[in-house]
Amino acid sequence: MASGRLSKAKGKILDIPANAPTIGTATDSADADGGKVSVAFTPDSSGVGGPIFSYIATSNPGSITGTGSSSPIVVSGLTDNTSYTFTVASRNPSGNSPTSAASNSATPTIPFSSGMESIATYALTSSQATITFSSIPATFKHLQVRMLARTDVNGSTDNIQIYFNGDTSNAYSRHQFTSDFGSPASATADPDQPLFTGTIGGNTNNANVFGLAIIDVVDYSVSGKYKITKAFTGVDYGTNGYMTQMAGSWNNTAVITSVSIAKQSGSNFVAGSRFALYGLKG
Amino acid sequence: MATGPVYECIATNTLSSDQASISFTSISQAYTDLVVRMIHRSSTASNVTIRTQINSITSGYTSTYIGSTSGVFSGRHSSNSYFEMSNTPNNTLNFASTSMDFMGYTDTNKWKTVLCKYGSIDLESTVYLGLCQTTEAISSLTFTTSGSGFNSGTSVQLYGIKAA
Repeated sequence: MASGRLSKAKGKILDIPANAPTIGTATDSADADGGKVSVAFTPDSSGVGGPIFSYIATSNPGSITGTGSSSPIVVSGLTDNTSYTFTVASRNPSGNSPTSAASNSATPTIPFSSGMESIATYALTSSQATITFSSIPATFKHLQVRMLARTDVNGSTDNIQIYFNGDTSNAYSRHQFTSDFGSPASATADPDQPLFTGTIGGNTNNANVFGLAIIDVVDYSVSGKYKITKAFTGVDYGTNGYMTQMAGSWNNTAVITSVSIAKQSGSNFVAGSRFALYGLKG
Repeated sequence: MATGPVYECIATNTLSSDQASISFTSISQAYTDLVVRMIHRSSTASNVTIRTQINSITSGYTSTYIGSTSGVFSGRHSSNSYFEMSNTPNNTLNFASTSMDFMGYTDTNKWKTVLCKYGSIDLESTVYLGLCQTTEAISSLTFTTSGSGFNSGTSVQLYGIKAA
């Protein structure tokens, strides 16, 4: 008798489980945070050896383990986009059974897109000069601003600008094309100060006219790249209209932690304007 | 930050036969914006335009647009009885793609503004900015054509986007 393979439990000496489980299929758990594989197995039902208290799955490489009382076992803490195989053993306080054969290879991943989440919204109940989303978490791949707004400029339209991390210098550049009251036009600006995104409504229109903008900021949470922005902006106020598609760059490699939206001519965005910031997983 | 999904599919309709119109009715008011994504083709051998109607409103639609065929064009649609924002290829051509963003669709103190992006490899690529002079919340959207309707295989999805 090998004393290291026995133990006393409630005064009774246990044998270790004699046989290995039969390995099943290992699959990526497709967890939103990644790093997890689910390992299926069939318990040994021979009744030979000591009682089975639990099971342990072990990765190769890494010898990262997960335990459970039944199949499947989820092994966490794995490295995404790395291939692993797994073995499973039965356990009781005396020790582990022999290990199963190795599983198929499985690779944990973060799903390509875990969706779109709302980060913050400003729905103005009184006029406001500049809208700033600050302390933006770096947990997304891309940002999208969706806004419906008008300003108090004394005219039919006003322009809006976007800037990042409080930088109002001329560190921006852009290309754009417009339908300018129904006529085509295009423009470039390098440098731009800050980034012009297009035209929304002003206060000489009917009070129900608000312009829209959908602004995408890609790869905002990585350093080492200039930050690229694409915007559709426009307003139609019945008797005329204006629309802009803009591609722009903030020529800075910093991670974006704040996004500000400003009007160009008027003093304020008016009450009723709404600005929503979303994060897109990737 | 809002929890749970903020970009949800409200309804979808894929035609198994030619159909004169496609409608989404009783649209939930639980979102901030609506997004329509569509692949479409005419039911006949003629290229036609898609007409979009909000609720039962038959006046006050205008739009500003810019696009490209072999050259750039732009212009305006004024005083229409529907949005006329994208063409649809005839049934011998490839399906075209259209997306529409209706912002603030439940707001009853704003006229309704929409951004429409349209592309057909056979016809053109165009962006529209549209206005419907109504403060009604959007509860239904109806799509028809200037011809006899949509071809089998045309598919339309309606999404809602929530804000925090």
